[in-house]
Amino acid sequence: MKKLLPFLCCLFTICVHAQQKLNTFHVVDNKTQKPIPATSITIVRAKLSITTEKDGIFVIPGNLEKMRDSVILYAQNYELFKITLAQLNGMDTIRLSKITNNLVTARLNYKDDTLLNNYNRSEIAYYAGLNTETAQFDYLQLAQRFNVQKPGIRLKSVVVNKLSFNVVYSITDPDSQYDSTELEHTTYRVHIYDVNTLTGGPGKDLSDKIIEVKILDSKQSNFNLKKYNIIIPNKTFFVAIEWLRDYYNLGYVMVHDKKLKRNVQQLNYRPTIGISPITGKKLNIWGLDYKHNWKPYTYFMPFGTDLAIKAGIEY
Amino acid sequence: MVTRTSGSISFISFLAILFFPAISYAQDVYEGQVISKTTELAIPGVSVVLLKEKVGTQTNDQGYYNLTSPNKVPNDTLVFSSVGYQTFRQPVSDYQKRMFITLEPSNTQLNQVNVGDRKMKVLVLDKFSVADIKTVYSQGYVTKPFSQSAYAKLFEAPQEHVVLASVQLGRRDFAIARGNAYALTTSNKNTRFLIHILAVDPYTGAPGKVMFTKNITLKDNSQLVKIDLSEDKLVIPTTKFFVAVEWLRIPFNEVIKLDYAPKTVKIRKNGSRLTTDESKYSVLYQPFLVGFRQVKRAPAWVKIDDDIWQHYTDPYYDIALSATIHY
Repeated sequence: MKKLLPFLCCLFTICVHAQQKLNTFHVVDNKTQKPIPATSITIVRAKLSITTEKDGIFVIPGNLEKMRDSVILYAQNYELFKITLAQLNGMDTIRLSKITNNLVTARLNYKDDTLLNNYNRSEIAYYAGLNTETAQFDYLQLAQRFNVQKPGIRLKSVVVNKLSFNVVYSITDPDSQYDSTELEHTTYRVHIYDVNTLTGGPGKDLSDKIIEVKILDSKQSNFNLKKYNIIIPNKTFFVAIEWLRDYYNLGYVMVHDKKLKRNVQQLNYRPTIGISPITGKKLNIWGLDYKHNWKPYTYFMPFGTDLAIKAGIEY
Repeated sequence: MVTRTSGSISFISFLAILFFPAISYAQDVYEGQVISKTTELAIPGVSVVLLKEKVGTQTNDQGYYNLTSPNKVPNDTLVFSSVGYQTFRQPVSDYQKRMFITLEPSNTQLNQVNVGDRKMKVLVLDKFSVADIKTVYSQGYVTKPFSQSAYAKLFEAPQEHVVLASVQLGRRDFAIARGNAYALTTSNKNTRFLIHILAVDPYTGAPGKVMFTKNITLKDNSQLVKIDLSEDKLVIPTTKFFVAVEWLRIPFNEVIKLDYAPKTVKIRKNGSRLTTDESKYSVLYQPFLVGFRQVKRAPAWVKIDDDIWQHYTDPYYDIALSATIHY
């Protein structure tokens, strides 16, 4: 179950009383009625977002009738669902409809391959995904654009570099207690998008399979995507990272507040994604904001034009 | 605070060696600074060559070099050569990351400069040495990632109307500063900051009117930084003046540091509890200045708000910031 309790209480200046109503919602598949795990729930004007757990349940406290905001529900392979908080009042189940994806089938004779957006990972100096004094990180996903010479190529692998520190985990067994030094634990999802020919940004999903990184953590993750058989129908495609804003990835960042003249602690979700050390001729990073609109991600411009994401293709 | 067990580190190191033989990029990239043995000033234009592999580069204005070895040759030698200096050779086996190379001048150099027909004296105020900025104290290197917006140091010249020729500062990568294998900060060689020359406020003694500002951009790991002001022809009207470093809180200067707090995540199937540290980050901004032990420390101030200066005191360390004047 996921709660938005603390944030909404602060935002709408509603005092938290023991009697306050908790509105519980179940996100399910419209046909099967089964819970949809890892659904992104975004309160748009409040700029709050969380990811549900496997049960697809989330809770919003307070009197929804009086709230002046809207919520967007997003789950991969499902249509985007938008509704006002007032309209949610009285509901307990939200049904999402699956999208029918007409995916391109693969040719059989791919002879050559190449690696796009290659870089030296030891030179990565910048990372995206943290609130800073300069700007809040208000993005649900970041996508790296790739251009290829002809359509119909197959995406065979993706490499993602992210920030990860060695930390000490205290493990308490029934009989002993010991420390283990490991890299920070993180989970996230990878999306492959076609290009939206109108905006030039990410368009529809090119895979109906969920690609979730949840294996042993590392600073560089290398995914073999051959089994997903992802064919790029145009000459442009995007590889995106979706943040799973859940308990597992929850952390904090200290940000200097100029008005308060002190550092304040803000919520932060891992991972933070590396910025390629190679500056390109144009910006190739797009961000999905809380309104679920894709727009160019310019925070590190002019030097940060690409994410530290490589793509291996076959043609 | 990080604690570690030797068993865990050994096991991880073993895995790193076994599965990632090419991971030791530090041996394939050579970088450092070349300075004069007598003056400890950076030497630009020094030729740096790997003798057997036959690849080379040159030092930049800060005497900094970065040489990549694409096809490493065993028992190779780094050769440093420049007109006016004796050539220095170093086996790569002796290389240490970001070390200083000192070259012996071929001829004796006078501590004077000619300005027009007049010989002028050269004096370095609050001079610090390479040894000062490389010293490791009991608590590690002393690196000052100031959270304030600016730091200003008071200098006193022997007379009025001196020419400010340059400013030197010691700079350190915070990740290196910790001196351990598991750095808890990212590494960013880039920085952009402002240097201000300020008068002394006659009423408070704090930094006063700004006389000069220069925007400095560095894109290397040079630790001894010289900011050349000779072309700016700065004449300081008073004996006392401030040199200030102002940090720009911009993405270009970002370094991410990890602080964390414990929490309980889950109970494992075998009944054990895994307590993970909630990652708590903070964002710092380059440049990171170096502190070194100094008995007599120059008066200094820090800017805590947009316009408010506050006296800065440190019981042991002075900041490696010096000013070279001609008079």
